[in-house]
Amino acid sequence: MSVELSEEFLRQLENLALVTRRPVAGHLRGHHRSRRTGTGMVFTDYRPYSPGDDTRNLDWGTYMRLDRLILRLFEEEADLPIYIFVDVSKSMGVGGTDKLEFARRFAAALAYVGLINHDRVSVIAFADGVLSEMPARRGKNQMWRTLHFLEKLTPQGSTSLQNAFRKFFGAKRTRGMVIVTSDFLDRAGFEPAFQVIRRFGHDVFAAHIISPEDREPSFGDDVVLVDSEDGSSLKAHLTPELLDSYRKGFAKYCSEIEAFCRSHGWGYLRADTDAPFEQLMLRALRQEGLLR
Amino acid sequence: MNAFPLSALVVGGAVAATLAAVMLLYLLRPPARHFFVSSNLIWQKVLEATRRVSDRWRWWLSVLIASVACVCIVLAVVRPGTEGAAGSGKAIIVVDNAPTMATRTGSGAQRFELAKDRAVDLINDFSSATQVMVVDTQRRLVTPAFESRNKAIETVLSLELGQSFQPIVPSAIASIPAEGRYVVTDGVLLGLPPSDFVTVSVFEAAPNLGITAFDFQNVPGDPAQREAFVEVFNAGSEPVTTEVVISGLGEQRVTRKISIEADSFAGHTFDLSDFPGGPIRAALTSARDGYADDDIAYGYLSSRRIVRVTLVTRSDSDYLAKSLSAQPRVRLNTVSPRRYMDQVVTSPNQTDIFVFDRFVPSEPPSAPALLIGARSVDWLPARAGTASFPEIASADTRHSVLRDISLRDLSIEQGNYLQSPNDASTTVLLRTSDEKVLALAHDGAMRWVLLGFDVASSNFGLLAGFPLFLGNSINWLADEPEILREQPGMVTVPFDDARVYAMDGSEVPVVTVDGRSFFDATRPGLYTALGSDRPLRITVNLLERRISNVNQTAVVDETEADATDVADQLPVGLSALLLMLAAALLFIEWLTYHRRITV
Repeated sequence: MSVELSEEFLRQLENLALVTRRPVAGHLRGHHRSRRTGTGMVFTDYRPYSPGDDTRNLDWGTYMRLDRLILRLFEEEADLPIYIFVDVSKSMGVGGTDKLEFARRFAAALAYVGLINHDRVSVIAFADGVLSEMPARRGKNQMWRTLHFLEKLTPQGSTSLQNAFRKFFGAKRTRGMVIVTSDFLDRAGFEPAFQVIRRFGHDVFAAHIISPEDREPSFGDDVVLVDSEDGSSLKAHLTPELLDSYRKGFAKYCSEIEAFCRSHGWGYLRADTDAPFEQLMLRALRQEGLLR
Repeated sequence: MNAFPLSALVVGGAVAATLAAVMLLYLLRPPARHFFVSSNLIWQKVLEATRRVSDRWRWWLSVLIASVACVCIVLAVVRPGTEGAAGSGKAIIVVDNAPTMATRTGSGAQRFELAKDRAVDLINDFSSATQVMVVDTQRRLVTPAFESRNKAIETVLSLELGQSFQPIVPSAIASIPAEGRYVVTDGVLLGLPPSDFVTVSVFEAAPNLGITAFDFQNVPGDPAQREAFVEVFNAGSEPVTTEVVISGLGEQRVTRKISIEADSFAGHTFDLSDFPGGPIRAALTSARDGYADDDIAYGYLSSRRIVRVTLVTRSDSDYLAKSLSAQPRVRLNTVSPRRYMDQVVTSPNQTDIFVFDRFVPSEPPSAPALLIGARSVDWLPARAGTASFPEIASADTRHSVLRDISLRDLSIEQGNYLQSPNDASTTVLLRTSDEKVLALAHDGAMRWVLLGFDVASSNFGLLAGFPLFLGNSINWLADEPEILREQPGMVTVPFDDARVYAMDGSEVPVVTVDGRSFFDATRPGLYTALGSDRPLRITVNLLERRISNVNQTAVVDETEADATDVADQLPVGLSALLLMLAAALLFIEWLTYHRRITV
């Protein structure tokens, strides 16, 4: 399935950049603040000159007053490692409006923003673990590889955020921004998984993909509800009261995820698949502070 | 729907079938549709929070409610009856065969025929196992009993109209347990049936003219002039003009056209002076008449002969003389005992009847005699003592002299007991409690009536029956033919082994019981009973306003009822309660279903 993004939309994305709330630890030069000092534009500190230092950064005014060689330090601007996690569990393929398709477009758009800003973009497809991974790419010309990777994703397996994060971050990963696009319908819960990310100090943005079927189930009467991931079934006689209880329960679940993210200073976006996609990207993400 | 409760076996079968059907329907319910959802994660939490009862219990509760509701409906439909009658499979049908049921309806059929049809329809609607008791309101069915449907239909079809003016639903059948009780009636004479009976009305308004009174009387002051009084009732809802025809044996005939307003009476007097006497008939001619039996009335006109009565009294009181002269056809001559004795010699044949008041000639008179306050003479029974306030124990009201007379209030201050007769020709009219005789009637070569007391020493003259006694005595002594006025039904002839003949000369079956004869007069007419020394004329007429008023029904609300409505007229009882219970259960089922208590 192809990932369709209009040219107009891509042009608008080119004016945006991903924003992280904490300094990044990129190894390559980029446009993001890092903890390292280097050849950036933002002054951070002084230190005594050591032989071999770049003499261009000596503070000659201080030398004239104090007769000591003092070196001016600047923040080095580094690239931003962006880890885009795309949930490809079976639950993402349920419903009239495919959540996985929405997640593909969402990931593609953010990857595009990252690539054109020379950030290192990694795309990871996960379900009950990491299913496939597109290694870090940099530069606009890697967009086609990214799209190709996303197009190959199909719904499979059940959701296990914790397994996926543990497996991925079990290897050494440069601290950066973790963007998780998922419906977060994980029987193990979302908190243990997020705790895994939090331990590694990543900046996290949770994109909660919600389909209308999840939000407002339209069926009624006597039904057997079959879980799309594990095939378990529940007999239920759906009444307006029961549906109302479900809506409240679903809203509460969403609120709990959002509250957790907010409490840790993370971004959270409730992405309804029936909402205008481009508007969501250009306005909601800017409002959430992910794009600038 | 069957109009009658089914037998216990069938009811049980119906209940079992209902339960099986309910269970089957529940088992055959289409399976719930499968819906794929993203995850049951939230659904599970919601359902755990809202579901308090397990699915199995909910299913069984739903089946239980549905089963009880359906069984209630089935029982209400098949109506198992109440209490002791439950499951008895019996029914009682009372068919009204009162005279007014002979009224013809607009279709030309009698109400009675419609009633029989309705009764047969009812019986056919019963289940085949139902036992049916057919009862009539005239007690023509002497020993009704429960029988099969076919026999019950035969019984219904064999019913005939009765003549009793007082039809009843026998109270004895009220205690017989039965699941259904029905009365098929026009509600005119029977009135409202008991409340536990379902009324099936066959009433249909019909035009009717009827003779409700037919009597004769002498014109006061002229014993030779006689007239008839005829009263006609119009029971219809429109004014009617009719012709009243009075005809005798010969060519005598009186005709008059009269008009009568709706639901009103009209009385008319007819001059019968030209009629010599004998049978007489009054008839109405009307184009439309629903009930024919009251259109004709019969009478028997006594002879025009003047009865010459000689009162022999020494009293100055003219009370007895006035009473005698007031009798029709009587020409009275009052003489003293001395004069009587003189006339006996000079003109012995100028008197038809002698009335001796406290005087008895030593020789028998030349004509029949009524002797009041007799004394002992050779040709009469001797005195048997003095009576003072004797207690009257019995009066022979079967004798012509005392017929239709009540002597219960007779008080005799002083009189004489008479010796008991020892010949069959002498009848004791009055007897005291100690078997002493106070009055005798002799029917021999010459008739006489003897009273042991006189009018002055008793209250006999003050009693209402005294003029009647004088009239009866004169008629009997004058050997006038005796006339008995009766209504249709069982007629009593006051002597045994009577032979009764109808107007056409046919002999009517007679039953003799206890010295009296009985025959069934099914229709108005003139009958003659033989067996006594003289023929007894019996006129049988309806002459009853209640019967002629055939449109005065007590079951007005059911005039339009038909056979299918019978089932709808079932008594409110267990069936209604069952239906209400079923409705309540269905409401509970609806409520619990929508509250997820049941499935």
